[in-house]
Order: sequence, then C-alpha cells, then structure tokens
Amino acid sequence: MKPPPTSGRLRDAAALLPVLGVALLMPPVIRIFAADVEFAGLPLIVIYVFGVWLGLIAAAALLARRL
Amino acid sequence: MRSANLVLAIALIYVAVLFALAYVGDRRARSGRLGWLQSPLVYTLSISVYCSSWTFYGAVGSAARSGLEFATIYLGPTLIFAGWWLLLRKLVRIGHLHGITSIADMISSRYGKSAPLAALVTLISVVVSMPYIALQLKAITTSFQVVGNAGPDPLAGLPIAGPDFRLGFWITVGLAIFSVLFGTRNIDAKEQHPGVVAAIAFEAVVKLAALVVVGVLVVWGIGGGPTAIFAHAPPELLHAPDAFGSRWITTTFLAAAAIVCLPREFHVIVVESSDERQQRTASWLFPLYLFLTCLFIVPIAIAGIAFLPAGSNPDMFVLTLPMWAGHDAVAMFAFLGGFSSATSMVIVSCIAISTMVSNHIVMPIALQLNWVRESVSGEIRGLLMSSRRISICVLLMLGFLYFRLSGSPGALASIGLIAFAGVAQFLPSLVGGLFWRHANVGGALVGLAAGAGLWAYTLLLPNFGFIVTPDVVESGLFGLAWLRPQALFGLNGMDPLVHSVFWSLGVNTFLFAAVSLAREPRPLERLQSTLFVDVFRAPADTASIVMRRTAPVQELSVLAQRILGEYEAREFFRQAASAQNLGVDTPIADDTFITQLERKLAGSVGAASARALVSQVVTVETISLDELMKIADETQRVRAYSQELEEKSRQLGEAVERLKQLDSQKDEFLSQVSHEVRTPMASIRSFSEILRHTPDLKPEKAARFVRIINEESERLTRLLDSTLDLNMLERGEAPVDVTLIDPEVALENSIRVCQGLVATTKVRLSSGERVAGVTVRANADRIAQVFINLISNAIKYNTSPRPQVHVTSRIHEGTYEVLISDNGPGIRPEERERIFSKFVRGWAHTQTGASGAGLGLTISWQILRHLGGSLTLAEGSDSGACFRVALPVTAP
Repeated sequence: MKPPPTSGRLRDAAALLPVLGVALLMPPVIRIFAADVEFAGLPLIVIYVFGVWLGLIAAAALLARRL
Repeated sequence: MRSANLVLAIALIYVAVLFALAYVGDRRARSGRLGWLQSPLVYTLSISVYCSSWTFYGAVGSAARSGLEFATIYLGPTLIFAGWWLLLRKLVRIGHLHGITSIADMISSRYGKSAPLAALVTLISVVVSMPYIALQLKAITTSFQVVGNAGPDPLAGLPIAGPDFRLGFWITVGLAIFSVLFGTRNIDAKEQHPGVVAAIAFEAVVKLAALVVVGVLVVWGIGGGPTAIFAHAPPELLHAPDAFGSRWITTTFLAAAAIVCLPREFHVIVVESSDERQQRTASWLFPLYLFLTCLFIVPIAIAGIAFLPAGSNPDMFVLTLPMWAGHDAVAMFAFLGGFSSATSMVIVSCIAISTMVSNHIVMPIALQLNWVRESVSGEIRGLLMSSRRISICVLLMLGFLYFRLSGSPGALASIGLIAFAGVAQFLPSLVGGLFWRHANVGGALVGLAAGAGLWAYTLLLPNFGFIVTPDVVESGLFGLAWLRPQALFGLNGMDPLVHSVFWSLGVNTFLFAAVSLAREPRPLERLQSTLFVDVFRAPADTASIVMRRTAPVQELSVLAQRILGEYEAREFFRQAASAQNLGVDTPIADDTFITQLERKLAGSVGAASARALVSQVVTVETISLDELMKIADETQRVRAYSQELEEKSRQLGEAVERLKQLDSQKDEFLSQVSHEVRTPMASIRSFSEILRHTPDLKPEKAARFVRIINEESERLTRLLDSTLDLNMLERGEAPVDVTLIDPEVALENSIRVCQGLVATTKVRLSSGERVAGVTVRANADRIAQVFINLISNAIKYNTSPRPQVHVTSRIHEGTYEVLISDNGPGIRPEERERIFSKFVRGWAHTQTGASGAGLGLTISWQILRHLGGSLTLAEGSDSGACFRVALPVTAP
C-alpha cells in the first residue's frame, strides 16, 4: 500500500509534536504549574499534566487523520 | 465467601477463557480470515501489554509515595507514539522488509547480521527480564494473599507481613505451564501469533475496565466526588519541592526508551504488526489508553492514604480499597484485572525472549557443534520448539529467584525502573543504527557491553546484596571509594537511578560513537547499514544485486525443509520457480532466490542464524563492493540531485520574475513613447489639415499654424533623439569620448546658456561657492548636457512668486560635487524613488505649462553612471529640490 502524498508541513508538524510535548512536560515549564494552587477544587498541576496529555492525544489524532 | 480456593477457581476459569480466545484467533488466522485480528484497535490493545501489574498495582503505590512521578512512565510512550512518523514508522517498515523476529534480530541484522551482537542483546534481555518478571510474581502472589485472605475480618490481615514464597513458587510453575502452552504451540514462518494477540487484547480490555470500575467506586462511591477526594490529599504529595527535577526527566526518558526497547513491546509493535494503518491509529489511541489508565490513579492513592489503616501497602490499594468498602465483586474484578496485566506481560515477554534465546543462543551453538548438520527433516523445528519451552521455564525460574533473593521488599515501581534502565541500553545501537550510516558492529558491541555492565554494577546488583554487598555500596569495591556503585568516580548526592542511567547510558553512547568512528565497517555491515538507514529510498531487493552467491539447489531445498517444514518449503520453491517462468518445479538458485530464501529462513530463526545456515550450503560468496558503493552513492546522488533541482527551479523562478518585470517595463515604455508621440502628431495633423482644406485662410493665421507645426515637429525630433540617446546609453553603446577635463568650465558654460532662458522670466539664477582647478575624467559635452538639463528643469518648473536657482560646487571626500537647488515646488517624498525613471515627471509639471517627455533626468542619470559618477536627490532640502551631481576627482 503506497502512502498518499503528504505535505511537507504536516510531516514537519508530526515530527515536532513530541518536541512540543517534551517542552511542556519537562522543567522548567512544568514548574510554573507546580504551584500550590487549586482550580475548581482540583490541584492545578494535576489539571495541567492531564490537560497537556489530552492535548497531545488530540493533536496526534488530527495529524494521523491527515498524514 | 472469599476463599483461596474460590479465587483459584475464578483465575483458572479466566485462563480457560483466554485459551478459548487464542484458539479461535489461531483458527481464524489459519483459514486466512484475519479480519478484526488485524484491526488497528486490536493492535493498539495488544501494545498495552506495556501496562503490566506494575501499572495496575504499582502506579497507585508510586503515586502514594511520590505523587505525580508515576505519570512519567506513561508520558514517555505518549511522546514516542505522538511522534510515530519519526521512529516507529521506520522501525516497522524495516521489520516488515527484513522479516525481523525480535529486537536482538533487529540490532544484529543492522550490524551485518552479527551473531555475537544478537547473543549479547539476548543475554541482556534475559537479565533485564529477571526483575521485571519478579515484579509480576510479587504482584500476583501478594494480590492472591490479599484477596484470598479468609477470616472474619479480611482487613485484619492487612498489611500482609511479607509475600508467601511457597505460594509464589506454585504461581511461577502455573505461569510457566500457561506460557509454554500459549507461546510455543506452533512456530510460524513469520513469528506472528494472532491467537495470543487476540487474548492479550482481551486482557487489555479487562485490566482497563477493572481499573476504571475501581476508580469510579473510589471517587464517587467512597470519596464523594473528585473535589472531596483531593481535599484529603496530604499537602506534600502533589507539591513536593523537587518533584520536577532530574528524576522526573530520567523516568520519562526511560519510559520513552522502554516502549521500543522492551523485547515484548518490540514484539507487539514491530513483529506482530501487519500494516502501517495500525500505527497511524495507535499513534493516538495508545496514548488515550494510557491516559484512561492513569486517570484514577491519583484519587485511588489519596483515598488509600486517607481511609485505610496506617502502614497499609500502597501497592495493593487497588485491591484493598474495594474490600474495605465491602464491595467484594469489585475486589474480585480488580484481582482479575491485576491478574490480566501480569499474565499478558509474562506471556508476551516469554514469547519474545524465548524466541531470542532459541534463535540467537541455542541455534548458533547447535550450528557450531554440528548438531543440525546431520539431522533429518523437521529436526531444527523440534530443536527450536524445545529450546523455547525450556527457556520459558528458565526465565520464570530466574524471575522467581530474583523475587526470592532481592533482599529489600521494595516497591513495584522501583523494581520496574531497574528493568527500564537495563533495556534503555539498547537505545543508542537501535536508534543510532536507524539514522546513522557509519554506526558499526564494533561500536554497538562495546557500547552495549559497557553500558550493561555499568547498569548491573550500579543498579541491579546492589538490589541483591550478595555480590555487591551493602559493604561495597558503602565503601566501594575493594575498599576503593571511587568505585562506590551509587557514587561512581565521586559523583555523589544523586538519586541512585539517575546516577546509574547517567553513567551507563553516557558511557554506552560515547563508546558506541567513538568505536564506530574508529573502525571501518565490513562489506556486509555496509550493505545492511544502507538497507536500514535508507529503507524508504533503497529498493528492497538491493541485497541480491550486491551479494553474489552460488549454491546447489538440492541442498538449499533440504535446508529449507528442515527449518520451514516440508509443506511450506515445497510451496516456497514452487512459487519461486513459477516466478522464474521455468515451467518446472525447481527454481534456479540465483542471487535473488538465495536472498529471498535467506530472508524467509530469517523469519524463523533470525537473520544471523539464517545467514550462518545458508553460508554452510553456499559454495562461493562475494559481496560486490563496487555495487554496494553504487547503491550507497545512488541514494546520495538522488538526494544531491533533488537538491540541485530545487536550486535550479528556484533560480528559474527568479529569472522568470525578472523577465516578467522587464517585459512589463518594456510595454510601459512603448505605451509611453506612443503617447508622447501622439500629442505632437495630432496637432501637426490637424493644423496641416486646416491649411489644406481652408484655401482662404488669413495669412497671419496660416503663419501661426505653420509655426506650431514647426514647433511640434521639433519637439517630436527632440523626443525621438532623447529616446535614441537613452536607448544607446542604456545598452552602453553611446559614443562617449572620455578625457581629462575641468568640469568647472562645463558648468560655467551651462550657466551661461541657461542665463538666456532666464532672461525671458523673472527667475534669479545665482552661483554660490565654487571650487577651482579640479580635474575629472569625463566628456565635456555630456557633462554640460547634464548641467543644462538640471538647471533648465529648475527654471522651468519653478512656480515660486520669487523664483531662484542656486548652483554651488565643492570637493567632498575626494568627489567633485555640484549642487543645483531651487525654491520651486520640490519633489514629493513618494516621487523620490521614481524620479529618475523613464517618462516620470514630477508633480511640478502639472503646476506649470512646461512641456517635457520625462526623459531628461533618466538620460542625465545614465550619463553619470557611465562616467563613474552619480546623480542623486539631496536629502532634507526644506523647500524646492536639490540635485547633486558627483564625479570622482582624478588629479588632486
């Protein structure tokens, strides 16, 4: 099965997605959200980590559909 | 109602269900109706064999001990899958093209089908699997004890003092039987196990469902909603000061490495995959599975700390919380979930590692000792099968030994991380081999051996306590302080895991790169390197072009029958023969055929052993270095060529742009010239017509018309002269005799000529400061033409009530400059850019009636350009315009 022709921009985006994930989930960025703050009764850091995670999944799903 | 027997019965029923599923799966696969077995969903679920009981029980334990750190184990794989396009796609494509059977096969194939390398990778995998399998045994044993804890108050037995090793032993025996039955029922030519995949996909659903059910029960049944649960969280749990330091980075990295380097993960991701569509879906579906798995971990951990008696084992919260709340059914379901996660891990690990042991350790030894040379058809298959069965039993026993011997009880997660750090040693050779052409077998061997050694010394052995005793940990090997396993070379104050990963992977990577650079690769290594690195570019059958081999077809047939079995071997030969269009059942053993056969055999016994086997039969073998270089060059050349093409097309694009611009300039020029010509022509025509058709015209009127006709034709002549002049100047054909002249003389003459113009107007033409004795290289007439043009423009277009034109000259930084300024309407800022262009006239001409074609300034500008000088508009003049003529001074 030959893969359909893919635009260069999409391929670059696919390659850069994990880089973005690393930047968001590693110090120093993650330390910004480690503050002892609550948001709607939940700790900010929990919301942040799981939020970024869900964002990565959504982005990967979008890219997988179009790549 | 719970008793150990009931639990045992339920576990056995569950196992029977799994067998039924595997049986159905294999039946469907054999009849060619793969269907849903190859769906991306089943593929993704099978990858989740990653979530072993470390995840099911250990993640909550980890969360209860060190907060969010547990999440890194799942964030690492999320990052790798989100970036599947980079790494996984290439890995799977190579796996398919080369019939890769395991990670050891992958690494050894890349480095010239090296048998020693395959054996080393296998050995490391076996050692690494010890703590990992021990972890599963510990989890199953403990969960069995907890859930089967009969008595009036089940919680009285919590926390359990320690694992029951007798129970652990029998569980190990049970798992061994289970894995042997499951994993070695048949040797497939492609080393795929559709039945097993179906069973572990089912187990993946069970474990996720169990974790979610427990989570929902804890959050809404026990805790009273998420907010209430988080209100119970100890403050230091989620906000430890050093939560996001080096350990966070290290565990994420290890998890990312493990998802490709763990033998069982490599097996399900690469070996069991069937097409690229599967990875496309898994790239987001697998991270989603991990996300859902982790969603309830923190609430369960908090609830366990808050509600269960102090000192309870946090690794068992998933089980003990439902029991504490009196939900026996949920507890039982949780037990099954944990059982699923452990069994699926053990089965797939056993399949993957026993394949490696039989292909890369047993087979080479058998070949060396000539066990198989004399053997009859099918004997090799038998040898492989029994060696796999034995190695599964040995693996599980080793795991049990580790479980029994590792002194400290240790959390599940910390045992798992030891295994992760071990498999991460494969990363440099694996990834380096995929992207770095010059990586070679020397670097891979030395790097792997050194990295694994350091890992064992700094992380694995301190856990046992009998080779590296607490004494050695305290004061170093042989009492040498710089050899302390957790502060190697005096690097102390680090977390032991981070310390070990730093040294082992650092030294591993360094040696891998350094030895690779120092050593020239052998021809076969170079061929494999090209095939792997350029997998998306090089043709798949490159190997047969490069390798020239001859072998008696009869012996090849015997070999194939021994390994593939009679039926499959005959089928393979028949297909090859019909592809060669011979009309007989025996193919010619040409290079292509031998290469195909070797690849087919590699699917059963691994590339290194397949090569060794084929080499026994092959009589002559040469690797054509020339061809190899040609192929390597080809890909290089294609790349260079495409770059060249890109550059060329870019240049072409630019040239086209320039031509278009020139073309439109030419059109503009033509239309302007015709426009300029039309006006005088029209008046000439109309007046001559009047003269012709009106014989009784008054003589004075007729004289005026003739004068107009004369003036207009003169203007026409001037226009055409200017156009010709400009044309010649632009093409550099204007005859300009350049001599040494005094420009002041020309300037003086020009001013005098213009005085005549001034006489009829009220303009005051004045001359200011002037220099004397300047010599420039120029043509006196041309220079005068420029001066007259500039001065007459200044006079013609001056609308000031008291018009003035002022001329000065000076020497400025070795340049002779003439400034001609006026107090007229000036040049608007938006005109400054274009004022020297053809047919452009300043807005001032609309203020006066003065005529002009708009070529004077262009001609002047061209003249000065030819003479090496310049004509510019001086900046910042308040009112009016100031033109500056500049010419380089020749003599001082």
